[in-house]
Amino acid sequence: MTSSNDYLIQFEHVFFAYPGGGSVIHDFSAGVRRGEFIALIGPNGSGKSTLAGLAAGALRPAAGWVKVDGMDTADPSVIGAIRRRVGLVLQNPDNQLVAARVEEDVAFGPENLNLPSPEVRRRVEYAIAAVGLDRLRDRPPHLLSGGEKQRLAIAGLLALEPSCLVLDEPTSMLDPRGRREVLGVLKNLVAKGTTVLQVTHHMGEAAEAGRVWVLAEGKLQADASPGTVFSRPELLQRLGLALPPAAELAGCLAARDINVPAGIVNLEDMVHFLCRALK
Amino acid sequence: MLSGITMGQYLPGRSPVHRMDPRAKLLAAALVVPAILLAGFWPAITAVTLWLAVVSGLSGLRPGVYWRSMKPLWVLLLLSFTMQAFFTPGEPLVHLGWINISEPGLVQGALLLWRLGILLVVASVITFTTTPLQLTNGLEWLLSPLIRLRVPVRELAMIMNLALRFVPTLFDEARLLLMAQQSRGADFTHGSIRERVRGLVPFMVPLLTNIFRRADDLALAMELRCYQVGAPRSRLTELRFVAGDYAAIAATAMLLVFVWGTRLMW
Repeated sequence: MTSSNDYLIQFEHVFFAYPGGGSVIHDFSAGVRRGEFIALIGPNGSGKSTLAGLAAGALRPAAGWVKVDGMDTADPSVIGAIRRRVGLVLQNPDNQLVAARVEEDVAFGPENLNLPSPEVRRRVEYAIAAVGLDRLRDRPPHLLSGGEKQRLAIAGLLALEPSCLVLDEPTSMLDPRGRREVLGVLKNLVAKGTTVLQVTHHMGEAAEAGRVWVLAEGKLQADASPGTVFSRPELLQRLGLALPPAAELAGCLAARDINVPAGIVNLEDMVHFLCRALK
Repeated sequence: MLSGITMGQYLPGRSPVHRMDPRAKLLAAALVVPAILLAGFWPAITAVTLWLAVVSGLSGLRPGVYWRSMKPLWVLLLLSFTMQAFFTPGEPLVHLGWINISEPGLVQGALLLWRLGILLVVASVITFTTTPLQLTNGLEWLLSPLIRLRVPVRELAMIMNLALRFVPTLFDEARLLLMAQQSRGADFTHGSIRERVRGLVPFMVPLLTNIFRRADDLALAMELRCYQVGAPRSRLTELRFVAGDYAAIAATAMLLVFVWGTRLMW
């Protein structure tokens, strides 16, 4: 048993249901450690978005509790503190942008904290640089590409300097290039110590994460490294999920008696393995 | 890229007009509007026109941009011209049944047309060179005395900012919905008015639904970014009047005085 201090976000026997609907999250217990990069996957309607909302305190559990840095998200008196620690990026970037200029939009969060102007400026510079939008700071959002808009939405939350970013399918509306951009930004953030919980249905992206949560019918089906999760094709198949390209390739190779060591599920590792094997 | 340009849309730039304090722009506008409306022949209207030429020139935007912003309003402009031309009393030049067109009518009509055109360009200069947020920040400052009367000025300014921010987004969305319905055979351009209005229903309903969904998302996103109604907010850039702002206001005030003066003299 680990102590609760190891966890930045902790779910304990969480239940959740929308009014008039059946239970969406059913007895979910898990924890996000500081600095982790977690990918949350699962079929449509499995409760992924709901879980993202619960993690950021946007939704309150019907039973059980969610704690951020030891603070209960159901406690209204700490909701401000929770919002500053966990940023939630919604699926559609268009609906999250409040200002007609990149810079002004990023400033919205720190302005809400009523920080002095120089501090707001510093945070805006930091957030814009972190997502690589320096050259577009004067653009109105409707003249940005999908990937740029999503990076802007991320910057808007980074300006609050959260310990953790929760992203609800940030790449689902993007083309491959926009997806690469956003994933690049996330990896950079993780490298610099930000905790990231990303909901995704691109298995290739999930394979890049440090840990994978598999959710189905509101229940946690698996909580393990990508290598372990994607080495169990029967589980994913049962849930109607695909394998990441590298894991699929490993399967095809295995069918021809070329054994790829277990745990090779992302492209980089696969390339390393193949290069060594072919030499 | 700017083909989807609509009225009231910010066009990024670094011109002196772009960099002006939004409050100064609003004050200058408040001074120049009466000047335009009072301006008669010839010194006054010339001065107003010159002032506008200088300001639009300083804005660094191509004249075509201003021209295009006026296009959707040509019906209004034409109507006001015809009304003036037809209903100004004077020696008739042309008889069209019971309508007389007189020379003073034509002159007054032309003057009115010119004034309205100038007013529209003034509005365009402001909206093209000022982001909605700057504009609403300026308005917020101008209206701040009303806070004492418990008018929620800050919140009203935020509402206005959001409305302006979503104009282009909703235009795009409307265009997309229109195309989606047309590609399924919807027809908005033929038939009686009744039929056309009926045809709009499958366009309006999804548009409204989407607007509400967006509003829901937006409210959540704002809360997630620590927005609280009524809470004090700081600013990325504190508004600060500089010499140029005072100069612009003074110049515009002088213009108003001049126009007023010509009015009194003639």
